Amino acid sequence: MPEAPAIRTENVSFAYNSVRVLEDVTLTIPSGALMSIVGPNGGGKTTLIKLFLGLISPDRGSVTVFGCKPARVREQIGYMPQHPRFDPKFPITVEEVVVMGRVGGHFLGRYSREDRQVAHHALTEVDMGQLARHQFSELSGGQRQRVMMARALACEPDILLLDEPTANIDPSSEKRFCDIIRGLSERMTVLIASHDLGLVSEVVSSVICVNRQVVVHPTHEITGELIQDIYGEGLRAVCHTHTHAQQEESGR
Amino acid sequence: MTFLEALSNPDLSFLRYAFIAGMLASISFGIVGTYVVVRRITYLAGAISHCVLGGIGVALYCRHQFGLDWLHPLMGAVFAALAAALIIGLISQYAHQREDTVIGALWATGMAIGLLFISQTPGYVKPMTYLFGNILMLSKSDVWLIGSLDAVIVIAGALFYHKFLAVCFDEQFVYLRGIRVRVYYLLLLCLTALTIVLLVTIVGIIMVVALLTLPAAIAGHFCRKLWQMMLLASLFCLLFVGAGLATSYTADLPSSPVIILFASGGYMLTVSANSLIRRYLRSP
Repeated sequence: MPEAPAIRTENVSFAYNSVRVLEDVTLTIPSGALMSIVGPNGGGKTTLIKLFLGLISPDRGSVTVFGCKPARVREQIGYMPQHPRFDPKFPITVEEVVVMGRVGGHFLGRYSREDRQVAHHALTEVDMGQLARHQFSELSGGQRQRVMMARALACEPDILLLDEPTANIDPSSEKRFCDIIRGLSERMTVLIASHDLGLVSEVVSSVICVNRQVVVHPTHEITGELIQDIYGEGLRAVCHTHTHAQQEESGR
Repeated sequence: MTFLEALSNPDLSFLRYAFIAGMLASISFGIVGTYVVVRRITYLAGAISHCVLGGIGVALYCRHQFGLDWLHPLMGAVFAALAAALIIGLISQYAHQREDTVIGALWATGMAIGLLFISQTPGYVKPMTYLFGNILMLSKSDVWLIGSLDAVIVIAGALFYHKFLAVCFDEQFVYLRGIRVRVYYLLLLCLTALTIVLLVTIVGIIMVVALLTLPAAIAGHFCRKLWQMMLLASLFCLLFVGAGLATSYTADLPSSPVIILFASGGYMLTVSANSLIRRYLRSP
């Protein structure tokens, strides 16, 4: 793995129109780390991910991935989106979705035998090998998410970036999910964006708390008070700008 | 005289040309129609087809006014379709306008230009021929032109299959893999534009969208892979064009509405059969 930190941000600020989403964020994610990104909805998690991927540029400050501009090295990031945008009836099989992680090598877009092998290996890694020939649209939400994760792995990334991978996971497969993540983190940097602090704190070594500003905590420091801090503040921020109904609800 | 006898009758060469043109074009309708359906750009295709009238009008006008005998109306159609595809594609990707607004505006503008130029063309030109199509008017040179357009579409559609599949399925992911998504999207729109020109010659501007999307939509009910959907859509299209031509010839009816009614009839049949089967499977 390269020597430079996997991701580094320096004094990054970002606003959508006039709404400041991130403010003065300085953060270093060392190469090989296994960290999660947590925070309330609207706190800036997705914005942070978009900055890492180079989909947006910061208003102030800088973001580097392995010491380079994100857009130049974004192929080293395997990204699993939270809400992939596809036609729900798209006629495509599971293995065709996963081999898409290998897209790019050739101008015409043919996949080599090696590409298909990598894709199949990725599917086996997330326990979906037996469904390779199934129709993607017939899978359950949790299965689809695992296929999306396999697609990100098929990119053979140095950084694996998972946006809400636990959203559709049923309790019985949580343990298996954690084992898979641990296995992957031995060979790449893994970042998990999630609002499920309980599950992610099982596996990660530290937590990046995002709520306009960013604080990094080692997992063992996470206490009830801290959680209150992360999420409570977010609720108050919502109350200032929105209806009374929400204020009453949070007061209850 | 039955339809099959009429096809082999040397005096009825127009019918033979119509049949050959329809069969050839069906292949590209199946391929591009499938992309249009899964990428959900049916209305974009509608706008391109209405812009074709602008190109045809300008070509007819220039041909008569400036004596440009080589200027076939189909050349104007190809030019206008490609221009419309690029304008919509570029505006929707770079100008951050609402795509449906741009589509609607271009849709009407293309028609307006066409009607104006046709009205100013000396001699008697019926816009009806282009609006509703007349496959029986095709000449031998039209068949050659259709054949070569068809070849371009089929070859490009097959060569870029995997790239188009990826771009249609998940544009953002493919972009993040370092692929120039916009180039492929514009290429796909240009192929769509060429296909629409073929369709205009067969069913006319107004009914393009039906023959482009219905066979693919029917095929979508039976297929697990995109290429299977293309193959089946082409077969369905062939069937509708063939059956439509035969029926319109035997019953002495205009061919394009009959072709379209076969297609929409097939679609309704598939949809209702599909929901009946589902209901049957669900009931204990």
